[in-house]
Amino acid sequence: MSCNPYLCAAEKATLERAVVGIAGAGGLGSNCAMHLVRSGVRRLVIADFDTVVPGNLNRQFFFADQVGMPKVEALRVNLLRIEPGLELDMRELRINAENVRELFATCAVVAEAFDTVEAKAMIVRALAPEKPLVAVSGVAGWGNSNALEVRRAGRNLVLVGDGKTGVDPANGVFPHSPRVGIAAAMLANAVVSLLLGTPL
Amino acid sequence: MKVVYQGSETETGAADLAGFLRERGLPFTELVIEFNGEILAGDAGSLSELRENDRIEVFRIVAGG
Repeated sequence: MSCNPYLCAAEKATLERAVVGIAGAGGLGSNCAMHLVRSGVRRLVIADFDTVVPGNLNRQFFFADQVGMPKVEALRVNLLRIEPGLELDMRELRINAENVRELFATCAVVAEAFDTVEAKAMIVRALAPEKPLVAVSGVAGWGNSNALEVRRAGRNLVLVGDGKTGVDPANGVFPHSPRVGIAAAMLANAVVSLLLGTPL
Repeated sequence: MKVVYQGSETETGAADLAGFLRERGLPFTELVIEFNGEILAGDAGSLSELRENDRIEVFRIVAGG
């Protein structure tokens, strides 16, 4: 089954068969997962160690009555409300250099959706040399929509974002729904393009 | 020697990639580095020796998600 009626048979088969990994279920990961499920992806491996807090609701695909729930559990509930037939492998754990390869071993493509520089750098160094990976850098603040872009690096890596606008509380720069949401949609769009073999 | 950095011919006195990054004040921990078309997997201590016309692209990683 797919909740997307606008796929040709070949697209539908490809998206239903593929396993996609999402590293992190925050602003990027939760919204990327929503877009992938609406697109027709049905097999996902999603890992995050965190729980939903009120400050997440400014941009993340969670609801006020889910505050306190593990993000992977809340996201499981929300994704199944879109498409009940999903095959979800939700892992409540902290991803690190030791477990990341095994965690996403079955995935055709992985979406990096962390928030810290250290975690982003870790997964790029661990996975990009061997597997298609879409990573994000530079999504904080407001405006500058046209600065958000998608580009290839190396054989396997796709980078989304403006490459410079990071979260910087000392200077009042925070992640907000529109820009994080655009990047999460670009992340999902790049994942689907890689799966279907269409231009990024 | 000359290397190609961010698409432009660039003169460097560095003998290896770690030295090249130091020369430009680029923090390895905050970068994705494409070296001759491959994304580097290793840590800063294992960065390669430089040769004439090596191609170096760096992408800045910033926080937020």
